Amino acid sequence: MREKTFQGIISVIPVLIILVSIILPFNAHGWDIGATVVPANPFIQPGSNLFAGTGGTGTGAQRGPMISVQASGVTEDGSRYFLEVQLKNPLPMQVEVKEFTASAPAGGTLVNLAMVRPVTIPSGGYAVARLEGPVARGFRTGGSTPSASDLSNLKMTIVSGGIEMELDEGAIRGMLS
Amino acid sequence: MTGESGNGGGLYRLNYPGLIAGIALVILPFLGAWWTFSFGTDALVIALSPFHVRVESFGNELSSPLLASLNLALKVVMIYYGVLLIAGSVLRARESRRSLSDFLVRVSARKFLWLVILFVVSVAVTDFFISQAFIFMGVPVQVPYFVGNTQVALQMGPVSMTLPLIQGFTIIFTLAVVVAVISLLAWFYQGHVILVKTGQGTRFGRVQEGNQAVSGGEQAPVETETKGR
Repeated sequence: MREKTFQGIISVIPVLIILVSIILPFNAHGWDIGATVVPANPFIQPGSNLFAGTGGTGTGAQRGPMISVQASGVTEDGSRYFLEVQLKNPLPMQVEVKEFTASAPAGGTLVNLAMVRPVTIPSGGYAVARLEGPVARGFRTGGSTPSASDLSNLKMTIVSGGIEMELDEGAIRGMLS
Repeated sequence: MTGESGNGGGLYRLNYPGLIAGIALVILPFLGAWWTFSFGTDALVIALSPFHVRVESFGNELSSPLLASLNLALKVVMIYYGVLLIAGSVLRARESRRSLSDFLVRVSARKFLWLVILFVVSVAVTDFFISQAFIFMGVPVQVPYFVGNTQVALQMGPVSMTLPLIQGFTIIFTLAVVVAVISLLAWFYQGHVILVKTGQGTRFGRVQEGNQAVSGGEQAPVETETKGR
């Protein structure tokens, strides 16, 4: 009889441990199934907006348009036109901009530009990318720096966490305002 | 050490596969993930074992309180079974404790095999749901089951994405399968096999009714493998 009781206790202990492990977290979260089962998402906090930069409602580096032209000019040897473009990253993860091509109006013509080297933008931060394109001898810029909204034929390839994304003009235009 | 019955003493009566499996069951919960799955390099990383579930996205860990609690419980339960298996394997040396030893080994030895099978089934279910999620998004991707690399191409309006998908079992899973097999062997060994000393050295003998080994003197064991000491 004692042996049977002992065997019963031995067999029932794991069941009790499993039951307690289910009951305890539910009890700790006020029997809220969602809070107990679903992982807490560190990216989405109440009241936050991942793409705050696009609407201009973000904070710090996220405020304002995600792409803005900072400077323009012609290289010293006069063979290339360049733009310095500030790229903001409102996302909660680091992003690498691998490729960025655009056409910019300058000197009465449309200059095709490509990013010189990839840039990495930290989460919630910004980076300045330099885009360059060949121009004819004797090219004159006309003095003014084009705004981001003047750019056309936009194409960008970004990589984040090993995922590669190609954004065409439609997607990039949404970041200009 | 001298056993209560013959056949070379208590050490010969120990359930050796049970001892090995019991010790392994105590250690295994602390060794890490059995299966890993990732999107990209760190966009989404899932590392699973029955004792630990790690889900990370861009370096941020996502944790479910219920899963964490269940993992801890499974860890405790598996250590518990490991201790029972060790106790049962050692108590086999004492003939007076034989029925308790049989009970402890019976209750603990096969549980780990079920856990491994359940884990493999849950990985298959996970892969199935990942495939279904892609089909639901209109992406005709065949996600390989259990092991394999694939590239998923997604087109979402003006954005096209390429997602490398990598999954596979770890060396710890291989170890877990080996431990499950040894545990099963321990369960068989408990009722059927015993080490016996013969004129030619130490051999495996078959346990007969009344837990007496077929061995001794010049009588050859029914099932033997030469394991000279």
